[in-house]
Amino acid sequence: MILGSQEITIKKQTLSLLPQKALYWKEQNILVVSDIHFGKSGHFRKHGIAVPDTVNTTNIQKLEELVQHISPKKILFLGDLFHSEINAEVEQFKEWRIAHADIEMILTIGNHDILTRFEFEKMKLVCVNQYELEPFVFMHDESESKNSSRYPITGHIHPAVKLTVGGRQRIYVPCFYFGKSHGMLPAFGVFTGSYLINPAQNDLVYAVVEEKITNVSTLI
Amino acid sequence: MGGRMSLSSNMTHILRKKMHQAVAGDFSDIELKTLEPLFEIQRDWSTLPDEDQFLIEKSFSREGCHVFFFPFEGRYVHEGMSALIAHRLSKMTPITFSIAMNDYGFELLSDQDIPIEAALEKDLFSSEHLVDDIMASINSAELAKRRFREICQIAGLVFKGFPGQAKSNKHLQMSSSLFFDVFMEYEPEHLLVQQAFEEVMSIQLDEVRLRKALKKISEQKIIFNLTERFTPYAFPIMVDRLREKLSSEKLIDRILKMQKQLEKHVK
Repeated sequence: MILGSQEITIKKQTLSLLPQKALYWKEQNILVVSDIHFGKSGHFRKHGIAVPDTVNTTNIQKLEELVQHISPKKILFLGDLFHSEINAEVEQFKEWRIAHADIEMILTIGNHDILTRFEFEKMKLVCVNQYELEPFVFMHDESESKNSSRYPITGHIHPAVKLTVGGRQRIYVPCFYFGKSHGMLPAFGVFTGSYLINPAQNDLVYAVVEEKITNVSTLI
Repeated sequence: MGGRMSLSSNMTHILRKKMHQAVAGDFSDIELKTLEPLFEIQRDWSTLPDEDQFLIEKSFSREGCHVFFFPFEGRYVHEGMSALIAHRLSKMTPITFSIAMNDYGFELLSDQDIPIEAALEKDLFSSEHLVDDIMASINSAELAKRRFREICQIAGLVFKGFPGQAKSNKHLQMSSSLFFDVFMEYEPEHLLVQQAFEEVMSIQLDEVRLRKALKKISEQKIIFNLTERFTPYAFPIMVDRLREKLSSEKLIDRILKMQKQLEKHVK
């Protein structure tokens, strides 16, 4: 059990929402992580914008801590694992991958994952468009889902919600979203923005606030 | 937003002079003559402050507790002063403010009761620890973040789009604020971030003018009125939508508070 996490039951499965913005599926011992964007800071630096490289090492550290804590059988990356082309920061990830050779890692390809299949395979990443495991289907972008009887869990849009807290103030917080048609994970990477979603009335929304997961479904 | 020029100190001086002319009952100018009914309402509902008086009004609405201050010192000074006062109040109790201002005065708004009466008994407007308090208040306020947006553009960190093909402003703000957050966390000594704080200090929070303004207030008599309705002085500030934030509460506590309020409501 990770501090500040929250367990929920979806389709009779126990999902643990982690304040590190990842999801842990208990029954299957799978860690699900979305939109890390490895190499983004390096990509910016390459184009003359000096973003600190600690951004990337923090991402790896965060991931490492989670793996240490949970020791999952599999890690599922819901796309946008890499931001762009190969650079030194991607190499850092490779090293980390090799250090955890015993864990199966699966990547559902996202729009940012433009490396060749060969590169992915070299990193021992299993590449798929969708990953199906009853009762869910995991993929990067929900709009590409084919009519499946399974419940899609996706990444891609980096969801956040607006909360109106007294005295005419609004705050924006990243969130987990589980609606009627699909579920969404917030972006794991620290150098990523977010997109405001408009949840419907009975959707479940869990905000990530100061290292805690809190249910805000009723506040929206 | 760029068009919000502040009044200079000379200008505010003249403004105060005109106001006092009105207090004294001299409505010979056409401007003052036109405004006479409003001055009357202000006098009726609250006080029309004279030269040696400093007016503070407090009122409640559905949004929470409003406290208005009227130093008539121009926008920039109010920006600094409001952040300073909000910071000093927030040290007394965990509270969250939304701050609005114009050239005449500023407003602190909170969803809970603002302990202004207790604060006035202590020295709220003292110029002691001024620099420390200012530094602390800009760290918590979002002033620096807003400054950083322009710096970001000039430094080429965000791309504004080609002429005639403007990218939306919203996108721009998001990314420069993302840069700000990332720099603050991973490289707080970054030169561009330093620049943002320096600009806030030197341009927005003109220390010399602020010190002068505080000194003047300390020589004035503070008039504190509980008003039932927003007075003509307070109204234009109250309706201002462009607001600053300052909080000494943890975000998670604020959300829990909301959840509790909502539960009460449902019961």
